[in-house]
Amino acid sequence: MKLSFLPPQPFVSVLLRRGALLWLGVRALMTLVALLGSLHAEPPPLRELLLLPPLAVVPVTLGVEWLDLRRRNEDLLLANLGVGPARLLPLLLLPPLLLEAAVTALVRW
Amino acid sequence: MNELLVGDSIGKRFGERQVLSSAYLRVQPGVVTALLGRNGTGKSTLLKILAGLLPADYGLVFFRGRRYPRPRLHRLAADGLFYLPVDRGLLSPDLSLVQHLDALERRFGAGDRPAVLRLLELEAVRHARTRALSGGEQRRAALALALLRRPLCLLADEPFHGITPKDQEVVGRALRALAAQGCGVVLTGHEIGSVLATADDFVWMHDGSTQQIGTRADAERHWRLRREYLGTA
Repeated sequence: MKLSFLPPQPFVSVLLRRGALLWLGVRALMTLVALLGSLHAEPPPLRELLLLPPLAVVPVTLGVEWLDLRRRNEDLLLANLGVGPARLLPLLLLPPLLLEAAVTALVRW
Repeated sequence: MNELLVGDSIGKRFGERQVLSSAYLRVQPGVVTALLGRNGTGKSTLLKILAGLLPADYGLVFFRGRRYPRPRLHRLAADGLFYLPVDRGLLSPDLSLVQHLDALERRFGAGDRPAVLRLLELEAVRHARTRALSGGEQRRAALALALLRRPLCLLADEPFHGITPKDQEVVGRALRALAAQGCGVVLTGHEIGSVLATADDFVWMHDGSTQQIGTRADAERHWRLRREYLGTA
């Protein structure tokens, strides 16, 4: 029996890819909300729009990822494979954290 | 007695309603145990508590002789338990059955996949995304995961629910095959013909408590089962 720390494939690649897509969706939605919030005022510069607070984007993405996991029954499936939430958390966190860090670094540079 | 899984004096309340008061269930290797009872008597709740999906208000859960103060499915599953739900699916809709089986074998080692697919009559649909499968095929595909896993204990909540008599027969055969390998199986369900044909041991649930019935012959004679469940006595 092989019990590694990570969930078995294809779940690692599926979760990472899906995490990146959901981060993109959450970011697009939050940017839209920021734009709509400033409709009657001077629109904020692009740089300001791109620098959404990561402390908001990352937890929201994580929440959406968890809901999506439940919607697809994968939480139950992975639990039956011996993979609990503590092992899933790093995989769910990795895409939004990395992408958010990359955007922040690019904009500041 | 060699007991795989024991739930002792389990109690659970949802708001004002006491669903389980003092439920007791023991699962033995190679035995298919059926939990019978009317709707709302706590059969699914008891299975969820034993699978670590719901916390009990009180009571003890032992698996393979070890007490689990806070049972969690992923921990129990790593030790050899498998849970088949009724109110949710178990398959990821965008993956094929083959991908599910690959993941399971990467985790727990290779099994006799061709025999499992043959037994459950799933060879033709193994490469299709599971969202494209019918209800009966999905039920059999979820069971294929359990069979390939070769668990020590399987908790199957209403495995015959909503599927054709032919599929019920296939599912029953698969559950018997698991028990023949030494797996302790617990099932619930209202498809009384299939349940009676599949199980060896019967437990009656009533008012949040359990009562051991015994064998199939005992179940068929049980007055409460006949009067309160079948409505024939």
